[in-house]
Amino acid sequence: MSRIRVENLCVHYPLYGRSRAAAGVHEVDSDFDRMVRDRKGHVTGVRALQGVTFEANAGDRIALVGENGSGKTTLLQVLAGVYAPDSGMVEIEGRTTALVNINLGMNAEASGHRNITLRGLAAGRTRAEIEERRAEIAAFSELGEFLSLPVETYSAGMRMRLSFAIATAFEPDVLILDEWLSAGDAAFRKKATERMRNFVDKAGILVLASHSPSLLIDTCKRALWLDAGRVRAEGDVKEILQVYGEEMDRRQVGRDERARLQIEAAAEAREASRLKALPRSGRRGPEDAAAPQEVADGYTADTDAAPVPEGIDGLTDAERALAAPDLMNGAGAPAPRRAAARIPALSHAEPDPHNPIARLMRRLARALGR
Amino acid sequence: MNSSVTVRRTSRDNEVSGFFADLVAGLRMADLWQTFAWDEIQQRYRRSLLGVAWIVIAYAMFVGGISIIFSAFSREDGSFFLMHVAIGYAAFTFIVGNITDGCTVFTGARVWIQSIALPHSIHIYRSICRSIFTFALQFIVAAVIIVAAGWRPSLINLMVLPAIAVLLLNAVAIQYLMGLISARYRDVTHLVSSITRLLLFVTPILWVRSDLGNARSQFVDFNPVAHYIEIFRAPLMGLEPRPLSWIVVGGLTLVVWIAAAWAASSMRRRLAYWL
Repeated sequence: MSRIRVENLCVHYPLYGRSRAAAGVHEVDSDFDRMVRDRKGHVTGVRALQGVTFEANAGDRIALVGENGSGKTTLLQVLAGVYAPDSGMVEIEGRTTALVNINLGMNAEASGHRNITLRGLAAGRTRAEIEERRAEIAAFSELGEFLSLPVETYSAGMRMRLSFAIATAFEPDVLILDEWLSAGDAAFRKKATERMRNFVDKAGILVLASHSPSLLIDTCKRALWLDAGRVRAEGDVKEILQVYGEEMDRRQVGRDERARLQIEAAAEAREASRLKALPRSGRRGPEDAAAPQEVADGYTADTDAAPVPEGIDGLTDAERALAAPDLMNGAGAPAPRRAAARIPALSHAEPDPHNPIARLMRRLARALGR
Repeated sequence: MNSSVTVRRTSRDNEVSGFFADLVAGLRMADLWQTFAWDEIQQRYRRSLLGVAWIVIAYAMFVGGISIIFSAFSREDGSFFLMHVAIGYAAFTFIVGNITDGCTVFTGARVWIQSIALPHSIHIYRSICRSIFTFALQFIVAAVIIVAAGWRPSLINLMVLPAIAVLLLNAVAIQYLMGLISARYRDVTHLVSSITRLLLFVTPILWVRSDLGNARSQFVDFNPVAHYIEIFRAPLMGLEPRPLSWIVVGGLTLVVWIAAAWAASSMRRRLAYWL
């Protein structure tokens, strides 16, 4: 008998110092309420799951849909027992096998056969049981002699075949799969889909996250739509995929529009900062005019010019040149060449307006340049 | 993944009993961690001609080289000093190895911790299993030296058995504690490696405690590693370990276990996020 019960599950994904400095720059948008912030407004974590509730009983095949970052993988990892809930409850009856990340759960230096043993032991099987299934796993994975080579020599598709073959051979009651199943070729996918069906017919539960509508429709009956860490809708897989697809198209239109506006705003801000800084560079000789100007450009946040919105550093040199054409061409022949020589080095560095050491270095460089 | 019964996880699980349940559950999966440990040993010496024999060779070279030079500074005779170094350094690598291995015990097992819900303790046991293997090979060198130095079996030798038991007990708690702390605070790994280098020189391995003056030898008593080595080395050399050493070791074992239980109760459930 197998059953999954998830009640009001919340998971906060802590960041621990990763990308803290950039936190203040973010503009407030629809994603805002998913960030966990400290008193200074620095992001300390992400609310990956915010009150997820669902139930699955024997024979259920559940499709997990949602856009990137909606919490699908986190939910699977909580079901797999990798992450502990921050609040709420997860209850699973039955042996659970999870294939959440293709690169995980294998000893890359050991051979395929050795990994069959390791995974079997990790699944709580005895050596006798593992030997009993070895031939079947080898046949299903179709890896042949490759099974005696280290797993690190395998391609992504081959690893996936082996992982899937092992995971399903030991007949778990609950099978949790992330989207990488689509890494297989068509023939393997057909085989895998069939095996998943058989497995669920034996009163197991399948939870499958994927971005492939055809795979989900082929394999699953029910669907769970996750949106920003919450269950947006639950129901028949075809209906949900229909509504989900429409909503995603609508959102993409809005996003394209917003991206366009952001790019425009960035170009405007650059233009403004350039105009403001122009008189200052005029004081220097015409030869030097271009180079220090370009230096300042990457680090606008430190100058007294208007701050350049996020995304400006993603521009290529060509785009920079386009945004300030008169500057690149107007200052005489040697200057653009020198500017071009300096920009690439700078554009690789990450301008971090909050880094005090970087700010000090910039001040020093400017003082020495004068 | 490893049980057919119901698994229930909430935010309010009892974490202290969870820690001990984790230790017991891991112990039951002996086949898994032994396989892991054996793979790891083989991988380390893969494609080398002499393979695992390098452990013995390296150890014999170290003990021989040190004894030739450093015995000149000691009032003890040559065979005593050789035994002193051979047993002491094996014990030292095991004890301090547990601290340094502990720093990577969870970070090194990231691929497994983030994919399968296994008891965390299996990684501890795997690590200890591997260091026991190294220790056993090194001890072969020490045993040859003990016998060659004219070993006369005595009852005091048996005192080494409780010492081994206590060392293993400490190893579990130390690795669990260091594993959790260094997964969360990565600086700890660097701190530990800088301390261990110093420890080798302030612990009575390359020198004999009785050669020091009175004041200095009391200063050595502040080094806990010296006591751990003393309870293991003294009985093998036919000497009675000082009661102070057993008292210190007993007390520290208790402290380490309490610290490990406390760390596990507050940090264990967050471990997967830190890796």
